Amino acid sequence: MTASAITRPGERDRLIVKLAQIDWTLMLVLCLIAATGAAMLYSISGLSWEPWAAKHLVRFGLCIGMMIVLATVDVRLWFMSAYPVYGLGLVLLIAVEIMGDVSLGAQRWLDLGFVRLQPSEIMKIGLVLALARFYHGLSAEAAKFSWRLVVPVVLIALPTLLVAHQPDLGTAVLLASSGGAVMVLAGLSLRVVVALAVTLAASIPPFVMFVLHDYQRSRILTFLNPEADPSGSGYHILQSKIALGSGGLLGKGYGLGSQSQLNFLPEKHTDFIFATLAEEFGFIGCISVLLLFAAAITIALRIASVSHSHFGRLGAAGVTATFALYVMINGAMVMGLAPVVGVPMPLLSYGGTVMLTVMVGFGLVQSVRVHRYSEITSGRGTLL
Amino acid sequence: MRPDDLNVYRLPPAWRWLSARLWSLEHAYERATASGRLQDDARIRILFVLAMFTAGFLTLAVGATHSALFSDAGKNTGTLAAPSGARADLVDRNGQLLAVDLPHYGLYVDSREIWDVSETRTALMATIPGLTRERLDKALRGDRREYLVGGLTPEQRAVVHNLGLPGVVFEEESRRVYPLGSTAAHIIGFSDRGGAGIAGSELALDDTVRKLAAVPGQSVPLSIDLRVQTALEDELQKNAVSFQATGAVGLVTNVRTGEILALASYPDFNPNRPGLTPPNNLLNRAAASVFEMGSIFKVFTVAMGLDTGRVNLSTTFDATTPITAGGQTIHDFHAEKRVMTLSDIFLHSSNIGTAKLALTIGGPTMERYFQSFGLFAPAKIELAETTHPILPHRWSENIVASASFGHAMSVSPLAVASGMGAILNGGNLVPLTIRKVEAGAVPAGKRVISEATSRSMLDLMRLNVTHGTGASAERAAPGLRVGGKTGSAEKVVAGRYDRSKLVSSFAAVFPTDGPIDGDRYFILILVDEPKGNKESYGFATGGWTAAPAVGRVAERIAPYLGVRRMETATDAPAVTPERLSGGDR
Repeated sequence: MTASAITRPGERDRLIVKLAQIDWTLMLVLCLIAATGAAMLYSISGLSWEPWAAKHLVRFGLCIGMMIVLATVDVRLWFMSAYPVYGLGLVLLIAVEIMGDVSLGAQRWLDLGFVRLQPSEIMKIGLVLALARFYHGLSAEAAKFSWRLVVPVVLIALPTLLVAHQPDLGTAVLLASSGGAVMVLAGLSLRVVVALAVTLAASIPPFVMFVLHDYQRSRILTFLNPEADPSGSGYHILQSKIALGSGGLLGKGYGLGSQSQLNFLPEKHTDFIFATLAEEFGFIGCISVLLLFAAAITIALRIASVSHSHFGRLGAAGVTATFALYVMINGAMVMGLAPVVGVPMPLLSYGGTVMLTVMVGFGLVQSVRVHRYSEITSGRGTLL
Repeated sequence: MRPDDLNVYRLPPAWRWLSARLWSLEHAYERATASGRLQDDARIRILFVLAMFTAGFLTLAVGATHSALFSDAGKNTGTLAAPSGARADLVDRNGQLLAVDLPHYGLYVDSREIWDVSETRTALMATIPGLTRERLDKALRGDRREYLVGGLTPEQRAVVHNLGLPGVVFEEESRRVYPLGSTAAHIIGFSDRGGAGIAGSELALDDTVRKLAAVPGQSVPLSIDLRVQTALEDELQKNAVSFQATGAVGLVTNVRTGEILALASYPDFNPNRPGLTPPNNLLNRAAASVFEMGSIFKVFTVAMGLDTGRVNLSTTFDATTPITAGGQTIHDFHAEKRVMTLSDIFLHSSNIGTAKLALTIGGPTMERYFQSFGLFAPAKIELAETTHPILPHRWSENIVASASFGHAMSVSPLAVASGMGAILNGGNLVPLTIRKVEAGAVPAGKRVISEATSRSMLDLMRLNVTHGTGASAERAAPGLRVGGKTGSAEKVVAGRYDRSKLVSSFAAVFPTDGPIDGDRYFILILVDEPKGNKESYGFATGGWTAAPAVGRVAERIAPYLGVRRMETATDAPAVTPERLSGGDR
């Protein structure tokens, strides 16, 4: 505990001290994951930096820079910006609902002229921040089970429903689960958790049958029996399973995965990059990458648990939960353990928005670590 | 209570580490519940969430383990070298190529990679014959790579490739090619584009052909001998054309092994393009057609007569006048109008005499022998085309009499070859086969007649060629000891026998001498509705149409089969009526 030995007032606010407090192990793990992603993208495009691998690395470099900047941002600034970010995300989601760009049949993007924005990504951070902020000022007793919990439920429900209506089932599931994770972390009675889980499990079949879009339903039913329509809706899962199965223990070798190289595997560079990895590096490759993800998650949760502020704890743990859910949903989807819902593997998959979201999240985690001794006065609204 | 206090130092380090972790977990939980403080509770909950994630990751790890190491998906590409649909080569008994997979190319378009859709459409429509506009548009609208056409030759591929269209790619695919065209088409058969056998050996040996495709250099040898096959096909074709037949069948088998050495069905087809062939040509008349065989059936009747021991070749029957059995009058085609010995009856092909023999044997015995000759069931052979006979419901007197000379029941040529093979190989019914039987192998057979009867039948059939109705065969193949029996059955047209529509045939065997269990070859030629021509002096019967063709086939194939010509009487003791009757007495 070197940091605790620093006693001079203001010492901890010096930039160089802050930078030293960043968790560089976590940073290294994230770099390794992103580098693996770049290596896979290089392989998929036929051992070429174009069109994905180079961009992936450049983006990651920018994101790392941004993460370091965010890490030095005082956790109290994060605290202050929690509700505004959430509000902005909500407004943009509504804007998308009203006038969004339709891309691939789903209304997800907002064209701001200079940049195309996906408000659901802002919301992934905004929701966690808002929930953490709300719980920061709540007593343990109230967090367990009380009428006040209507607020976090509404905070979660609003963006989830808006996103589900776009329709983007994957992100909706992600938002709801991340929000739920924060509620559990904040102290929701475990009895309520169990009761909710049972209710949820019971309501899935009617939900699937009556609420979902046809394509969403077919994805879920396909997940249960991909062989029923091998060239249609079962195509993704079957090709992915073939990729995984053909990898075996050690894989076919770098650049030699026929499923991905020959375009059998759809979305091979985004949602199904893990299958590509499995095909070329086999079981060993899969487990190694899963271990990297597990390491990142463990380190981040550890950072959360040492924070002195409740907001920092919940915020860091919340964004880590989002990250972990990304990994688990994508992994399960690629292995055919869950329906295809269009959730990428963070940092591994090609795609700027998800990388940005995840790295902003880790920026928060790093900030929580850097400022782990900062207390935030729990007076409601005093900072905003 | 710290583990240091306990006596754990003798434990291995890993255990020590684990117990320390456990202790701190428990301690943290105790502290949190004791103080009831928010932050400690949250820490516990982080651990709880971490545990959930650990469970999630373990599930993923198990999933990855299962998919990567224990799943069937993708495994066949690793263990099986051949792509699905690949088929092993078919070769004849001497290794001559009959059917082979040749690389062709499938053309795929990936609409995501196409720069100029209309350019691609125009170019592909112009270069690929038979490509429909709808098919192309559907592929161009797709959101992933779509299969457009298959079976492009390397040249066609080069033409499209040189157009330099982005998003238009090729995959190698196999296509079955039959390099000999229509030669042996019916016995080779064909397979579909997906690599599934559809007809002939391709269907009959489908499993083997697919399985062996994975083994490089392995081919499936058929029983046929291409040299025999081409000779048979040539003679059959010439014969059918010169007599303007509607169809014809040719068969050459080895009666010892049951191997089909040649099988021809006229008209034939090109298995490379079975879809363009009329169904009549696709029909394998040797296996899938049944005929009233006519007088060649007398071989069966006389054999069963001799085998029962009730008659011998000198036994006489009165063929002076037509007989009436069950309200049907039986005439002789070459009426001798005299009392005849059994060998004379065979040599002159007397219907009256054969019918009387059959009535002497009796219906039940006849049924039993037909059954044992395999004539009541589809011929035993791998070919799926082998078909059921058409049999009378009740073996009344007139049926027994008619069946004795090949009427009242219809069987396939393969069934005749199988049953007659048993009579000519020493008495064992051996299943026919389209697979090569290795030299020295003795196929398991079932004894149906005695060896002595078999020997007598060989001699009798030889005598029929030297002194009887099959003389034209001897003229075409002198010194090859061909024995045989002619047949000319009137076809049933609209419920009545039509004398102008015949099924003319010649069933032959050579050489008739030599060891009874040696290699001996059965030849059957059957001509459907031949019209008499100048060479046959207007006759369309078996002795004038099929017998000379059989003789010519024997003459052509004897060198390949290792049958030596014997020119003088000392080489081959001739079978004479006197010796045969005397020997039998």
